[in-house]
Amino acid sequence: MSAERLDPHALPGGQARSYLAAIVESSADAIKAKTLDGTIVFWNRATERMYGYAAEEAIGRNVSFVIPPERPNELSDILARVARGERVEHYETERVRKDGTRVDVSISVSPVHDESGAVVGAATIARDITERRRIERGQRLLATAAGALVEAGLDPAAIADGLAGAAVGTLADFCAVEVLGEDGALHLAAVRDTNADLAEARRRLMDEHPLHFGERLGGRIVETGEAVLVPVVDPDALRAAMAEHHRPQADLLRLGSLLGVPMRAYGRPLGALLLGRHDALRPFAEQDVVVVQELADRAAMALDAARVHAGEERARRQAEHLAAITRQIGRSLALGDVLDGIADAAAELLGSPVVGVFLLDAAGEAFDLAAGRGLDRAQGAPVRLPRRRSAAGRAISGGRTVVVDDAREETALLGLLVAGESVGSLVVAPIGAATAPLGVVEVYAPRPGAFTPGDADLLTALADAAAVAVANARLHEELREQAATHVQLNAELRQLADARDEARAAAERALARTAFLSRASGELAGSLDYETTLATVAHLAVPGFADWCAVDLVGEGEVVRRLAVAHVDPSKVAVAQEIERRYPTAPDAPTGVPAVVRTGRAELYPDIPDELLEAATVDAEHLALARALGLRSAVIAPMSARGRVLGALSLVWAESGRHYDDGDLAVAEDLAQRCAAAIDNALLYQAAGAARADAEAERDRLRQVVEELPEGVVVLDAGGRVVVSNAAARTTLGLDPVGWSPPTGPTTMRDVRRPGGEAVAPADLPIARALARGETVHGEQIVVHHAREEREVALLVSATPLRGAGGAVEGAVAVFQDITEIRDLERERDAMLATAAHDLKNPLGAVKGAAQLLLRSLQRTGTVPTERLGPSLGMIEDTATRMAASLDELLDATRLRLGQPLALDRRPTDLVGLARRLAATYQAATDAHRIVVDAAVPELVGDWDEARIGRVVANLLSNAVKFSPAGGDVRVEVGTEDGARAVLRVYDQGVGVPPADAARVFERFARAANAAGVPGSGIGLAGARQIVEQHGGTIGVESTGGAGATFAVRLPLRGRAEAGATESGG
Amino acid sequence: MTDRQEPTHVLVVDDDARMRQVMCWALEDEGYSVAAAADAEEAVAAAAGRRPAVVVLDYGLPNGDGASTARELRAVTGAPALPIVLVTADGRASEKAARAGAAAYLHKPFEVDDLLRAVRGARA
Repeated sequence: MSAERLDPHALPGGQARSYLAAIVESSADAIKAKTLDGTIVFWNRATERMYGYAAEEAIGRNVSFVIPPERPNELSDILARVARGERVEHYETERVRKDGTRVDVSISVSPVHDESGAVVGAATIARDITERRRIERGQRLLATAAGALVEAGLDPAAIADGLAGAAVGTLADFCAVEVLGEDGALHLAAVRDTNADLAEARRRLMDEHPLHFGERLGGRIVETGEAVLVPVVDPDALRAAMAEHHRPQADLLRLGSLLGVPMRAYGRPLGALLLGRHDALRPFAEQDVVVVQELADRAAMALDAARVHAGEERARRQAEHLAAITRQIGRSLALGDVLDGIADAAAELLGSPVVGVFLLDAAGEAFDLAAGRGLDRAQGAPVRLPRRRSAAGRAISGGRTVVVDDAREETALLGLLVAGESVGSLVVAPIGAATAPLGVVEVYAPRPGAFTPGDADLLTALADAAAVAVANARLHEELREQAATHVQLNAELRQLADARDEARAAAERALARTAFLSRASGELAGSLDYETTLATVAHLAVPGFADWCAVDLVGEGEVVRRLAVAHVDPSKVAVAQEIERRYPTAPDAPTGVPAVVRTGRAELYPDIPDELLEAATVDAEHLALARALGLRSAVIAPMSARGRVLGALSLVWAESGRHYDDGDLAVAEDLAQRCAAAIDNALLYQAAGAARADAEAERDRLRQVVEELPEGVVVLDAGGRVVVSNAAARTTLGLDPVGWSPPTGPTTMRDVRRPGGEAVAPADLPIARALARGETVHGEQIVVHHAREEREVALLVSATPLRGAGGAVEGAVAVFQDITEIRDLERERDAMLATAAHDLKNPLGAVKGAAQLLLRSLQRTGTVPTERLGPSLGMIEDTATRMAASLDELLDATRLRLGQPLALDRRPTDLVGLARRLAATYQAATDAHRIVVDAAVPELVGDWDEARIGRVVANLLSNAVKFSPAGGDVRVEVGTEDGARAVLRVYDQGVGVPPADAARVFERFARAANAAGVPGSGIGLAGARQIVEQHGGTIGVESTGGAGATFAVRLPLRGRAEAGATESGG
Repeated sequence: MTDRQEPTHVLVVDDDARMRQVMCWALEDEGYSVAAAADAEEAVAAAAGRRPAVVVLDYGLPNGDGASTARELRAVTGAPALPIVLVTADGRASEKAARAGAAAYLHKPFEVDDLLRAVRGARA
């Protein structure tokens, strides 16, 4: 324009041209010039920038290379107008850059005249209006979209489609709206393309090859919340970025430029808006992002509103639906219809085609599939769902609807597939109250987590409605069944009524018989006194069932005895008895009671002709008497029980003129049978009573025997409680164990040990083993504590289970012996033998050694040194003597232990000297004690066995030392009493002897309670007493307990008190 | 004894006088110089006076058992490895020998040869 105002004529020719050139060259507008055939003659710097071609590249070429191919006539039109001398002002069009992209331009073209004024070319000024157009397009887009969204209203699909429609044609060639569903997946809500075929191709691609969320560009956008802009899509990069199975379709997409933005409402992504251009001629730019984002967010808001509305709408629709369905379900009373209705309703309500309605079976342990939709039951068998471990079980147990987001386990239980696929999630609602569950309705979905709490509420509502319908249907079915039964009954009653008339007499008779039988049975069952009862039964038969009734019994020796005769008239009874007395029935009679008793077969006499009486009587008078009775008909039935005939029941019609028939025979047999059962029962009962009495007596005897057994006996019942104990058990244990169980017995009884000292667990006690394991234990040793005395009791126990008739262990019995004495004896014997062996080995060793040395010497030198020989032989002799004495002592000890008398070797013996020697010996063995002898006389000689009395004194000294573990004085006092007795007392300051034990310490094997832990040795006090008593003396303890003990020995100084003990004991 | 040096000194400890005497005789006959003791106290005194090369020790002494006597003897002689031949009249000799750290043990009554062999062995 400025060029127009430049007057070239004002400047010198060359100068003006230079000015113009400089101005044009530096202009911000793209200025180019071409000839009328389009050949470029001028191309300024701005044009270079705009089109990307340098002036050298452009000048000389035809300008058509910057014209888009889709505008083939534009250039010629413009040039034609210019040739006519017209100007083209601000023509907006587009041009092609060197890189192929498009540029929006506004061009003004002016004709260029030569000097003659003829148009020779065209000058074009072009301005880049790309930005402006972009903004315009954006605004147009937003305006269009606003209209589309308003039009779409609250329909989400319409919103998406409107959005896509607005985008395509304005800003993009292609638009996809991907919306986040309630399931968390992206759904292609709308797709548009300027090329409808392409849109369809995309839709198909997504349908046939769905992509996971993360594989989709939309997914990435929703996730990151950020826009994705790819101005120029590199086909290779696109292919690489695509999911593998979509790659072959990359070309199909025709993506030249791509822009995706999230659709956000209230900061929450609802989906993604994807825009594309088929080519990169007009790539998307940063500036587009703002506009598109704005568009996407507006759409998102609309979508959100639609969704909220849809949720409300759906809830309302569902509520209406539910009500309709409930009415529908309730309309039918057929259970099958109701269940089908529930299945359909659940499918419809929750929008899932897969539904199962299960009913709880009678046991309440499993569900049976009662109605299903979409369940694959190819396996054939009816589908059963266990109550335990299933969601259905939880639902009915809890009385609430259960949503299982991951239902794989559940459907594994079901063992079914949903349309051939595994089940992802399910919702199950209980039908019926938790207290009276009927079943469940389960709805399945292939996707995990498909059900919302809203679905659960809906299903709960349906199930509640269903419960009423199911209950009604069931009730209805029951009623129908009852109705059917009623119909049946009516028919039968009618038949009965038809037969009533002819049957009435028979029925009444039957009734009478039944009544009679029932009364008789009552009588028979009521008492065990069968003789009285049978007489009563006989009277009952009269007169309803007989004029006469007699009962005969088979007694001992197979003799038949008439027990009762009944007749309404007692005088007739007397006549009958008289006949029987005078003409007793022969036991071998071919008919009558003897025959019935013999054969067990009943006899029926519908009539009794006179011939029969003649044959049955022995003489004229008998016959006359029989005739006088007027017998008409009779039946005799055997009374037999368990194959044995116990008697006979005779029924006779006489004066009433009636007759018995086969029916009566059956009744008579029945009655006789009942009588027999009663008799048998009573006899059995008597026998049982006798047996019981016998058993009782036997048990008493046994109890007596057990009580007096020398061994302890305890009996445990099945529960492990002691129910029986005997005297020996009580004495041995020191308590009555009845009532306690070994594991919970008194503490003293719980510390049970083996002889070795290890504890015995209560369960390992012989009796516990017998009871618990049925083991029989023979002679096991255990050690228990005496319950009242401070001592151990060694027991030898045997135990065995008590088995009932079925072989089950019903108790256990243990028998035990107190072997404490035997054990102590054994222990002492063992200790004594060990001591003896030890004591004998030293001298034996010496003798052996000495002899060997002499022998060696003899062997080596042929002689024995005389200085060695004497002492050696002396020693051997002396040792042998001592050994003999030792053996005597051992023998004595043994005899004393066994209570056998010793052969005394009485010689004048000085008691004082003896006491002093022994005191010195014991003093040598102890430093803790001071042993002193206090003698009133220098010597006290008696006729005693020195060795044995020495053993008595030694024993007392030994005890004094032993029982004063803390040491102290031991004093031996020797003196006389009344001049007739020598008295030796040993005092110590030890533990003393408890008064309670004072009398017992001299008993064999007895040890004082406080002697535990002190080893016993030697002859013991029992042995000492025996020696003293054999000497005619006494030994006793004079102790107050705790203040030391004093033992006193008194020996007669003259005369021999002992009798023949010495001689016999030799 | 075949060597001509100072005869080997043996201490015999036993409370049984006759046994003690016999053992002394047997050892003296073999050329040992022998000292005798009747109890632990005497034995310790004797060993302190002249250090024995071998001790023949009765386990059951009245004032101290073999194990403690052996300990005392080793202490007083300053010879921790003092060879001891243990002699016992009752059982469990091997156990007692172990307790006393004895080189050998003998049950009474024993053969004279066994005693001599044990003493010879203990010394070697």
